[in-house]
Amino acid sequence: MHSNKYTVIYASVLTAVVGASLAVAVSGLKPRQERNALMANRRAILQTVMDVNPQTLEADYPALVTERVFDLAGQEVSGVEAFSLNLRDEARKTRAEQRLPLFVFSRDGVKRYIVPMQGAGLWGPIGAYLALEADLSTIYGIAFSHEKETPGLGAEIDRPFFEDRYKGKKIYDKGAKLEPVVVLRGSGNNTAGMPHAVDGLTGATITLSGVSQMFRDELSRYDRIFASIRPAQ
Amino acid sequence: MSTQIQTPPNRTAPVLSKKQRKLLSDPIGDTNPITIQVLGICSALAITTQMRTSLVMALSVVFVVACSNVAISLLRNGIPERIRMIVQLMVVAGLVVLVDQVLKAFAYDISRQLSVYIGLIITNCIVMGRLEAFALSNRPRDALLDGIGNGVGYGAILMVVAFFRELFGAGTLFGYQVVPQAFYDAGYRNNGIMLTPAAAMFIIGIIIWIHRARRPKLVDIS
Repeated sequence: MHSNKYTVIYASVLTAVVGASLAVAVSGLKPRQERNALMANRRAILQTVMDVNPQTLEADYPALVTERVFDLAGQEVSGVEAFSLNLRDEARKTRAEQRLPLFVFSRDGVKRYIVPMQGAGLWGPIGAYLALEADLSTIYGIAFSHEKETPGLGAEIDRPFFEDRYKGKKIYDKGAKLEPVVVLRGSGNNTAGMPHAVDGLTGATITLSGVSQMFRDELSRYDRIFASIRPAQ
Repeated sequence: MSTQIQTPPNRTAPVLSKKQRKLLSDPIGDTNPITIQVLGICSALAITTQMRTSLVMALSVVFVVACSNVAISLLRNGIPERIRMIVQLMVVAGLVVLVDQVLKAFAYDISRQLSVYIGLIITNCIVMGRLEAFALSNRPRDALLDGIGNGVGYGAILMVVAFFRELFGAGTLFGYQVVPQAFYDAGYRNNGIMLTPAAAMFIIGIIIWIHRARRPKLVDIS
């Protein structure tokens, strides 16, 4: 049996060694990880509107996308970096203080508006970039992301076959009233003729109700912003 | 494993003794962590919907078991008895965090797919099971072999389960479509239950059944 003193010293030294080596590894890898995350964000934004070539991504993005920031009343705010906004923190602020980013893609006279969204899945946060056509109602494309959804079930939301189901759906009804897209329960639903619904995924009910909720929450915050952009076209 | 060089020309002792080869091969068959010891089931159920994620998971577990086995084996004479488990946990947790960070830096997409399950390697019973049962009382070299053997034994089952789940659940293997479109046109449909953890339970059950039916000596030893 070792003495108490030995045990305490052993534990302290081991903690220091493991802690220090992890600290070195984490801080050494951090720039790479942050770059990965930023590139993944930019790629996700562009992916909603075009085929992304990873080689030219770095040059394409600034050339094609304008980052704009608005307040909830639809007024454009200057001096705020769109990517510096943490959507979850913004949603907790008072309505007057919230700042919402909007990414405007334009190429050859074609405009697309890309809305970032965040919500809650089954195990953790989920998010999406939603690309709208120039009418600000028809969905041109969407890219979902998630952190901890179950692989093979909820995690399928970021797969193209699911994202493609949103194409052509509408977030405004004929009377120009907000009517976000909802996900139907289970899979195999026929959604032809239903502009505000998409087919679901078996085994991912809670993740998908989070997706529907995210559409309701986030798009209602962008309602005034869309209204302020629409006449300016 | 490709490291099993049989007999060097000068006919001295082989690189791996017979006992050491057994350390490597037994966990893949007769003492398999999943099918015989029934350890590490939770992650085997959770991440085996796709072969690609299973492969990364398997490699991560091989790395963690092998390295923690060696580390604990090196430390085994100095570890204070009373904080033995905490020391093991700390070594394992350190290695797992390292794997997680490296994946985030170099395989960002896959690390996002595996999400929480890399972190959960810390609680994988196989890892601590091997530390307690083997590394604490054996030399580093043997511990390394034992770790690799157990990691591969775990990974092999993962890959088999993932093969069936991805093939029948999604019609793909490693993400590539293998079930031809003509099948779907003819009315074939992917089996939704294969995507649920229940399917992994069935498949592991069937593997255990076949394994024991072919090796009667395994019956009743677990």
